[in-house]
Amino acid sequence: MSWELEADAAERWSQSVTEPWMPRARQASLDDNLARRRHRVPARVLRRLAVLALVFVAAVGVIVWQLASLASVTITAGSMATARVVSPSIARPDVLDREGRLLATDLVYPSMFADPTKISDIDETALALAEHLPHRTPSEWREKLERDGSRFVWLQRALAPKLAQRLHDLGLPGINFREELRRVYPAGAAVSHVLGHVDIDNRGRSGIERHIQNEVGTENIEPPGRTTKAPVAISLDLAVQHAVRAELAQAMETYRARGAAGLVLSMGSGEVLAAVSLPVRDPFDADQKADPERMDRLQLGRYELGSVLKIFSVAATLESGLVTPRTRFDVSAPIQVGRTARIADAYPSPLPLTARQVLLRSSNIGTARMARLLGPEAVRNYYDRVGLFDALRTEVHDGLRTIEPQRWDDVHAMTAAFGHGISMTPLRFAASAATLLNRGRPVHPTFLKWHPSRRKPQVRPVVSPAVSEQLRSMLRENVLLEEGTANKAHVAGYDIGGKTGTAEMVVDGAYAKDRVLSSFVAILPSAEPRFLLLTMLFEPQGKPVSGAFEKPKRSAGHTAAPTTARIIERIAPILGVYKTVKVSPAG
Amino acid sequence: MRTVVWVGIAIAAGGTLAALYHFKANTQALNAQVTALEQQVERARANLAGLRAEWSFLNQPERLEKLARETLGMAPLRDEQIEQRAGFDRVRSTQSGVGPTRDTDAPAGSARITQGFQEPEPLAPRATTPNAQAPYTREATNGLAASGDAIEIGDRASQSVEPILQQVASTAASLDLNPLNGFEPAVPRAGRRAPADLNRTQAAARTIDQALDKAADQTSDKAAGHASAQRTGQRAAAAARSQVRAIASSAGRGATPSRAQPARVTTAATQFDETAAFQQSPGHVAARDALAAANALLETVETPRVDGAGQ
Repeated sequence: MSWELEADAAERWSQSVTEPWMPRARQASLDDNLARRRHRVPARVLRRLAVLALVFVAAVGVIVWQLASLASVTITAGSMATARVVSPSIARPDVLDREGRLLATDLVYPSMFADPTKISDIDETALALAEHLPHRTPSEWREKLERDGSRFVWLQRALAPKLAQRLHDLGLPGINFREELRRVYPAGAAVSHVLGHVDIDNRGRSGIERHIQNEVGTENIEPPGRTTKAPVAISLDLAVQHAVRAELAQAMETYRARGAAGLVLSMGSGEVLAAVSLPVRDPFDADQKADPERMDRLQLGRYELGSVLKIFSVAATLESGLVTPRTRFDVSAPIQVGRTARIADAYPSPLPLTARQVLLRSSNIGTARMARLLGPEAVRNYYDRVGLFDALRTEVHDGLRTIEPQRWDDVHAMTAAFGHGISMTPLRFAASAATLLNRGRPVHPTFLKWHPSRRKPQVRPVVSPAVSEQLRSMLRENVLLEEGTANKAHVAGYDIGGKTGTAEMVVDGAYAKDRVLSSFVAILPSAEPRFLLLTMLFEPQGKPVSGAFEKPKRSAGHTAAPTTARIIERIAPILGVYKTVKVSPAG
Repeated sequence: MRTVVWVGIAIAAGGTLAALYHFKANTQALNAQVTALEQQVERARANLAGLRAEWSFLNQPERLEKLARETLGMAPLRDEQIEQRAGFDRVRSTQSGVGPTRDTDAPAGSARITQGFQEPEPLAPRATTPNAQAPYTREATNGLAASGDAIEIGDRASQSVEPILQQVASTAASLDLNPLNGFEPAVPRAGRRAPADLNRTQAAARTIDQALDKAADQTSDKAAGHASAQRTGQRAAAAARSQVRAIASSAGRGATPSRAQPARVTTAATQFDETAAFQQSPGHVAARDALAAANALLETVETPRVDGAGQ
């Protein structure tokens, strides 16, 4: 009995399951059994089952497909909602000086923004912000957060990283942070006029920064990072720049001047080694950008430079072939021009002066006579040949056109011969002076470091090299001889040549006697000029004097010339110009 | 057969899928790693830029000039501080009285220029030129070199003191004394702390060297003599101990002491006495003396050092 039961159970079990290891005969009987059963299932049930199976398979298929597609797509941080709202960060190349010192670079700073729709408690948020950023009151923060409709408001750009962390740790809903690039100028205010500035989005707006924006190019990098572009090397030498700046600042104090400017130009390549305009502009102080006192006096100011322009009128006279350096001019009496104006000399000479002496004594009457001899056309042509009327375009500025007299008649030619009635940027003047003294070969100032690949095209001299030579020796004598106005620029051992210029400044359309612009243009060494220096002191009062009847001397020979001497003594060792005669300082 | 094929296909498909997912997961992990590394590189680059900016900020010429003037007493470089080969030639020719003393760089027509031109004064010999702002005087340089020498001598002295100290310590340990009580090995610092009075430091260092050499010799001699004395003592003590043990055991066994026994006990007692006397033996005393001498020496070593540092 028990055996039969077992056999029956085995039969039933074998009917319900298909097993590949079963003997073939047994399997066949199993199949038969199943076939018999299938016949018993109604067809509509089978159809329904088939439909169900199809639906099931389809559903599984969809799920698998979804899984596969999800798995194949990588979710990145870039799909964050804010990234689409904000413009990408502009990465700028670094700026180095000619010796590779870092002048400007990009740093990554966190910036804070808000999504006003997500702020839960606007009062609490405003209070919390005001506590950490007290430059705005809670109500001002509230106002910023209450922008209707906007889903993105900048709250504070370029936060200090630690402050940003503290704000982040507050966990205010709707307040978010984003890293941004910020331009920093670690060399400080010393080079700010040349470097220019960038706007809040790191776009270059002026100076070298604008040049980089337009010519070198920037990179849009997301997330914000530093560019891989090669740094831009500019022509300035930070050491020379600092020395010039320090000496000018000292001179401003000594001679009680309102401002000062200094330029060191390499005559061969036209590279500007130092360009200083005082007072300086702090690159991190936005208020100073609009201050006219702090503008770049070398390129944005146009001034009547006065007697320094005599180098051009004397050169024009010599080049005309009408006179030699020994030709004498009568300077005994002032020249009356028109009804009111009179051309006179500060130190009149009763004896006629040679052309050389006219330059050395800086005689207005003498140069006026030269201009009359040449005629207005010739004077203007000569000024034009050395480029005095062209706007000087550099990497830093597009340049301002020289303001020349509206009519070039005899009177205007005579005043223009000693630098009156014609105003130009100091850099424009320096470039023309360099052209004249560089054997007549045009010098074009550049603020980028010269590279051997930038081979200069061979240019024809615009001024006769012989006249250039004569001028250089006159400038040397001007410094060397007691008679010269620039004798205070003499430094034993340095071959300095130069010309002074004291111009009365135009105030309200008239010349102000007590407000002068004192300038000095120098070449070093004068025999084989390598560097041109321009030193300017704005409205110097002169050294304070003790005697009651003594007047403080504010003329260029007493202010700008000795300043230039001090600058040269300081920068010559850096520039590799050494004294030819060494006199021990203690005697 | 067909079933087998289907099953095979199913396994293959499953395997492929598994492999696919494995590789995908792997790739994702590697991708994450790459991203992390890239972020790390970017972070490092940003940090580097920050540090460069800071370095440049700290190196602003204005700041450096202020620091150099105020803390180092320096002034901007003057041409007189630079000497070139031409300068030496000129000094020689000036001394022989034929040198060019005129401004040689004057423009071509220099005859014309000399009319108002002052002849420069004859060149003073450079060595006597008083120059308060020269960065280093020769004396200072020599002083620096000498102080370097002194430091080296001091270091060497302290190095030679080290083994002697160890020797003293080990000898004292074998004598069951504690040598390191009462002083600490401060000697190695002697040279480093005393750059000021160089002569005194040097002299002190030499004295230390010699004294310590002598002390070391003495100590090692005495220690050698002492060690043999100690060995004798130990042998005697061991013999005494074994005899005492023998006596005690025989007593323990309840045996009646023989007539010889009192004699043995007497011998053992004598040997004990000898061992005790060993404490007062000349070797022991010598070692203690050596230790005291070394201590005293170390105190004399300290005296000039403190003086030197005080100046």
